Amino acid sequence: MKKIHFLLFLCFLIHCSGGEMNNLSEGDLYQSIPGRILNWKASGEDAVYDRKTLFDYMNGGAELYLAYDFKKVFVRRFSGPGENEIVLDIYDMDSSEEAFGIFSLDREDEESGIGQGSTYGFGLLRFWKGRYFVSINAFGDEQAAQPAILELGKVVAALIKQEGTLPALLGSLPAKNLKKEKISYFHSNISLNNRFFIASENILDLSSRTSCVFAEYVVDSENTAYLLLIQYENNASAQRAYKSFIGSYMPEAQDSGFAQMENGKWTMAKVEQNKVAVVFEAPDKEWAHAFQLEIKFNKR
Amino acid sequence: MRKIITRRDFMQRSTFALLGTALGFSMQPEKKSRVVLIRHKDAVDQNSVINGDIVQQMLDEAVSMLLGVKDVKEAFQKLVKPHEVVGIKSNVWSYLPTPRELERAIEQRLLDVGVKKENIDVDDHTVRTNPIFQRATSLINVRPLRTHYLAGMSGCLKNYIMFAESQPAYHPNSCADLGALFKLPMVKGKTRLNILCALTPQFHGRGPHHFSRRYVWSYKGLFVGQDPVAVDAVALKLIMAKRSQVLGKSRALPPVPKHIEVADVKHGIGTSDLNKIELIKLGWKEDILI
Repeated sequence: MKKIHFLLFLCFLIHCSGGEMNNLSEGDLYQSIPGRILNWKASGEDAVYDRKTLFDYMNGGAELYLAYDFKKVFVRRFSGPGENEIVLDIYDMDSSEEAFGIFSLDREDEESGIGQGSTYGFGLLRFWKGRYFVSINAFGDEQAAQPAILELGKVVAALIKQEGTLPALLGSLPAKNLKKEKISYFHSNISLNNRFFIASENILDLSSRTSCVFAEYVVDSENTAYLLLIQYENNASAQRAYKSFIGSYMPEAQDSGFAQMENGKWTMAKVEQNKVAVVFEAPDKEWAHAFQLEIKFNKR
Repeated sequence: MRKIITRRDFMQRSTFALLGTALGFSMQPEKKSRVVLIRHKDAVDQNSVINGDIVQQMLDEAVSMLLGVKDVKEAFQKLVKPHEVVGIKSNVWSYLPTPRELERAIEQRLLDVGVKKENIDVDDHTVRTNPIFQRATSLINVRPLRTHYLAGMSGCLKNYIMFAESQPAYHPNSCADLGALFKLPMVKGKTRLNILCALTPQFHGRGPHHFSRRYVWSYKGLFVGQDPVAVDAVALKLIMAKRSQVLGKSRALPPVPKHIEVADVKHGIGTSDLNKIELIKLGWKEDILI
């Protein structure tokens, strides 16, 4: 009998280890989500998709998730009045940095105060908390669905007990005039292309081994400058990428790293240790020079 | 060596429009590829309900103009013969499918020229195993116009991805080689008509499925052509114009849809250079954008 008790205890310990959120296992999280939110009821079977099966769920967008450390997504549908539907997606992104990353790639709506960061607009709530990124999307009458979407978001956020940290690379960004709500964190060229098109080829050699931050800075009331900061595996990789960028994007910059663009604005690129920084749309060379001095290349 | 398209290429052109010219292509086709854009202000009502009769009328006018024939039946007879087996490659993407009204309009004209009902089918995901598509002697390519997070734009070229044995095989490098789909045995040499539905096109995508109704607008148009590359090249111009208008010039470009140029330069299945495309505009002109 003692043996059985010990085994049960052992099972309990295993159950409470990996994949746990402050004593709430992943399965418990999913099971704790209420089957009814206001006058909306869960409908159909819940589903879970992993890296191999994500394409079965997403006809449009899977690669954006696979460009991060996406593990799996839990999907539950709710049906409401009329033909309306709400779809809850809870993405396990493996780490809070990755959860923030996928969230940060697409922030066009107002903050809604849910989770560690969120946006809501036109029937789409997006937020991140801990290692989870959550999307709740209405199909049909978006206005009618709004109260249920926001309520469901609050419930799910409360069930995720553990908060997470932001990517360390964000600490390298100059703070002055930074539009914090526009920062994006990602790894691959597909993400960069969706955020800010630079080139048709991967001229900065971005991959799952690189970490990137894209940030926007207020220049004046009408103008915005952009900073792309990339951390490579090592100094040699950063040097190679820098040369590739200069050669493909602004060969006239040569060793200076500065070039005036066709629209009159300036682009500046700099490599230091294992990081490459590129400033786009700087109003003039002096502004770009002063700005790059503020980048904390040495910050770990 | 293939030229890399950069952001700078588009800075040189205030309209952000001449993608083909940005690449500096110099292929000289014997004649221009013709694309017809037809619009009708009553094609879609305020509740997004599509008027089937008007869609039929738009299709008829566009195909007649495309082929330079006044009589509609005669125009379609130039495309398919009565004894043929015809697959209509549609698109069922749940958020923005090919309108049933447009599929019916095409079917009707195929029946009118004498193609047997049992020799016509409309399909998307199961074209590879569909007996009609397996026996098809002609294909009609029809789908809605929208942006795509990976390929940049989903147009006529991307619509044939369901003919591929492995769809992910066409995903690398921003779906650059979608043009190769038109060389697959089930497809090669069979496409008679490409119709890109721009009744309610989508100019930007968000959310897990890249869809939000706020980025769909009632343009009330159809692009029609025999060259899928030319149709897509012109439609891209529209998408970029709309993005520039709503999202701002800095975001005029979706992820660059290089598959359109690659379909031209590498696969040789059509013309991507706007200078070598004859765009004929019919019907309603308000907010035409291009």
